[in-house]
Amino acid sequence: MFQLQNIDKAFRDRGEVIHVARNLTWELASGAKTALMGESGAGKTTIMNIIAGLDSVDKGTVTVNGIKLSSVSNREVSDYRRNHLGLIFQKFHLVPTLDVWDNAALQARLAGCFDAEAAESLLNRLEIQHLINHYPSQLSGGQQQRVAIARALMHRPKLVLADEPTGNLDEATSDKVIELLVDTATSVGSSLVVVTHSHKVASHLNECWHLASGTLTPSA
Amino acid sequence: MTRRFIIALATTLSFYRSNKLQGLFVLLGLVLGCGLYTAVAQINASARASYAEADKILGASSQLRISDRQQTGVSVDDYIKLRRSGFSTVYPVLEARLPTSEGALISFIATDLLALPIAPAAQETDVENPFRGSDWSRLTQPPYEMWVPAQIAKKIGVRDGDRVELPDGTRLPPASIRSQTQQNDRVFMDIGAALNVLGTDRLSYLAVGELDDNQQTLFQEQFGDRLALSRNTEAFDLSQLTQSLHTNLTALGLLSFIVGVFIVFNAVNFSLSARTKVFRVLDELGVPAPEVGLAILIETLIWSLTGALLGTLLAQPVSTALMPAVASTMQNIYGAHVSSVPLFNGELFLKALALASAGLAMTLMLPLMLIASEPAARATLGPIQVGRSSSRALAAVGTIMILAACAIYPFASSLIQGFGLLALILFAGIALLPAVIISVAAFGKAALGYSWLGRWAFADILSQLPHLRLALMALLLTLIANIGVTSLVGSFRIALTDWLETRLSADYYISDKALSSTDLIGQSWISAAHQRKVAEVRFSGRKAEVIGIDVTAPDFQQGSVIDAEPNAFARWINSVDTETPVFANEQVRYLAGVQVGDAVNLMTNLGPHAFRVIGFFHDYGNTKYAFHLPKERFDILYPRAEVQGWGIWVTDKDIYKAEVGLNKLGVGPADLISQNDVLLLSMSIFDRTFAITRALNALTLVVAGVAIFASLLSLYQLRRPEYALWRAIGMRWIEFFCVAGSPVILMTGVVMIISLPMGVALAWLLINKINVISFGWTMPMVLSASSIAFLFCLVLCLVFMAFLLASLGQRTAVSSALKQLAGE
Repeated sequence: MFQLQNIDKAFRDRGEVIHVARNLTWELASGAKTALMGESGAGKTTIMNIIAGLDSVDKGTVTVNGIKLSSVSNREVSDYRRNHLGLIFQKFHLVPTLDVWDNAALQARLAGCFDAEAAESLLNRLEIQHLINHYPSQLSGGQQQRVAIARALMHRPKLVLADEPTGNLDEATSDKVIELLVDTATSVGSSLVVVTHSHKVASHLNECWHLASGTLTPSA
Repeated sequence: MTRRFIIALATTLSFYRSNKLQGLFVLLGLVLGCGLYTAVAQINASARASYAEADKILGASSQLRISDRQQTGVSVDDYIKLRRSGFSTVYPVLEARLPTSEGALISFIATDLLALPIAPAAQETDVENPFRGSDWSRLTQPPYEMWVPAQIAKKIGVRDGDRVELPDGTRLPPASIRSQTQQNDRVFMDIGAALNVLGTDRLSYLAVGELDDNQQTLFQEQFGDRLALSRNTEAFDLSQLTQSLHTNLTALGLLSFIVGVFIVFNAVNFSLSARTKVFRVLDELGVPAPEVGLAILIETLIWSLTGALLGTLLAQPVSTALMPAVASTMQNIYGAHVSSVPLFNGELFLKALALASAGLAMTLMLPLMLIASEPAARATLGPIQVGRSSSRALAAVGTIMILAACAIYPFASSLIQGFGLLALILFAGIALLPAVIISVAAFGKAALGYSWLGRWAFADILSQLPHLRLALMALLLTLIANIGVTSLVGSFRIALTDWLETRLSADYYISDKALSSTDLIGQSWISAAHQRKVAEVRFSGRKAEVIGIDVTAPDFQQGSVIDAEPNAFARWINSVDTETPVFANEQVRYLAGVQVGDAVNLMTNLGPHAFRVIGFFHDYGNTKYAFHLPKERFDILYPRAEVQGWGIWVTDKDIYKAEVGLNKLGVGPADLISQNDVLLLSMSIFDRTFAITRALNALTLVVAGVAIFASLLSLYQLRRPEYALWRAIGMRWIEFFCVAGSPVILMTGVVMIISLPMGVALAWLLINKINVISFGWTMPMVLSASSIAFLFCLVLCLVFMAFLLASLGQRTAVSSALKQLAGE
């Protein structure tokens, strides 16, 4: 699905150089469901941004779905994100003035592949079909995150990147949401990378990687 | 406690270190608001100081004035006789306004320096005292000297020693440039030089310091038959006449300040909302709430002082740039001499400081109340519902204001009440705005249900409105004022043009008073020639003119009569009544309260005489009362009236023949003005007169543009992570514009739509209420579609530019914004 080849990434913070990636190589197979763990400030979000084409590398190559991100235009990177990528955040970030239906359909519409029947089916699977006329302010945290998952998956992306998707939820809701995320991603055929601090969340995924000092190592 | 407080203050102020732009906008709003208001206050103070000086000549105060009963000016012989009879406080004054050979108009004032009753104390201290130094003697001895105020010298391009030439070739005495402003914009000469230059032996009037009862009785006995003694009320008259203009300027200044406050409000609101967490942390760390409050108060004081100081500094170049336009307005509309150099005093700075503090206190109050109350409100209602309920409350207030305006309208009879009505209209407009925008958003969302992007764009209006509401209100205020004032000025311009074209239809106006009818009879190039005669009198405490109308003249028309008795014209022409029938201008009706059929007493050359007002006529722009009599009747009652000259209509419009003919009659270029010149001169005076209004309108529009830009920038800063997310999921610029930009344009559209009827209502009130209350005349209201369309296009461009700049300003790296998203 994607391949990070010998990448280096560092940035300065108050005079100190922080290495996020040192000659890092990482490959994810199509359909894989992976957890990315690491301490705060290790650079997990930066790696996610690099895969999403939102950040560049100092050295090395990034290839996603056959596209070498460093050699295509900004517009093509934008097209890649719109058509082939789904993003999920800790704080949901739904559009407050759109109802559940329009929020869930947002990226599919931007990608020009919105299918109402498929959308209904997805919302059913995520158990939020009955909420389609509600606005984000009328939903619980778990319900909002399910809408965010629907938004990230409705256009059947090749890859879904989820940054702490359960960080804002209680344990019971967290379990339910991660189960739904993994199941739904599987049903639409998307690869999934979940950034998390929680081993419990990581246990729902096929594999787990640990990022520390710019190096990735597989963890048990 | 002190140490703890200083730490709390430093912590709250640290916000501006990382949000420099917000600090800049607080300052910008205060500086622009205070600056424009102070500039206008300074202009008003300077003009009022000039009125107070209006009855003084080089510091000599004249309480009384002696004029000729025939209104032909006081003869020099009478002046000498008065001095010889013991009236030692009498001094002569000659005033005139002449064109130079280069077309510039100069106002002159002349007096006898040696006769000026200046108090000895003033002679020692008064910087304007002409006897300081020895150069005054050059004024009184050939080749004389004329003192030219520096600002006038600059305007007409005169340097020390230059001799200005008049159109007839006469050269004025050498110029001496003076920086003193006491004579305002008038050129000063010794009376001997002025009589010589102007070729006259008559003085405009005699000024008198003060006369006791015995002296007044003596004066009446010796000179009462041909000279009249009256109290000098010029300064009082000017203050009364110009009150409306000053109120208008103050209103425009306050409008600028209010628009500036809106900018401050946005910035303060943002800074307080963004610091809610800081306040909470300080509270958790044990800083008592009163100390946090005190920190905010001190921050407010720092802003107020800086804003007032910089605003007052900004006011200096602004008032200096605007003052000549105001001086021109005063001169052209009211005949008042106002210095074109603005005055400054410390009181203005204190006023600016008080305004800035009051403005900041107002802007702080609401956000603090919201911070205190909104969490609870939001928990139960959500932000959109909170916005909707407050909009409904505002709309109710707006509706009440409109109803109140309708109820008050028939009773408003003073300027304060008139401007109160205007304020009600303006504030009703801004109170209704949010509700109208929310309704339009709901309607648009429903109408565009089939388009998800359209639905989203209309829905986003509700997200943007709370942040842009005040800036949009400021824009609405500005547009209403702009449309209202522009329509007033436009209507005035058209009314004036019509008036000039019909009332001044003669091809030439000749001011050669020596020209007689026998000179003109038999000239083949003349199709008609009519003499113009006017007598100056006073009526109801103001200057008035009685004009002899020649009903056979081509410019005579009955059409401008607005109200009259039956058969009024026939009775007026034949004058068969015992009381002489007279037509009066509408000013007599509106300002003096005279009705058709009322009797009025006016002074004639034969003594006091009773007239009966049989009708009123439109008289746009005249600040004097005017009465029309048929020429024959006028000649009987005012045999010694001043001849103003001749109006000549040329056969077949053959200008060449006419000019040759006039030359043969000995009429020089100085005594002659063509209709075309009159029209051009009048329109150029008009345009200069209203330059101040245009300038203030444009400045207010700029401030409103800055308010929109500042609000958009705050909004985009607040929503940057949200916008970053949109871009992260692949939103293109055009889609971003549809969702984030089109709501701004749509809301601006709503503002423009509301501003149109409100602006027209304002223009209507200005013309039919304020004008009538202030000047006593009305005119047809003319709306200029092209001006309004231009204004709207300009505003749309301004808002679009603000959107572009603000959206470009927030296009920092998406990844950093996403980090914000992830790290929140």
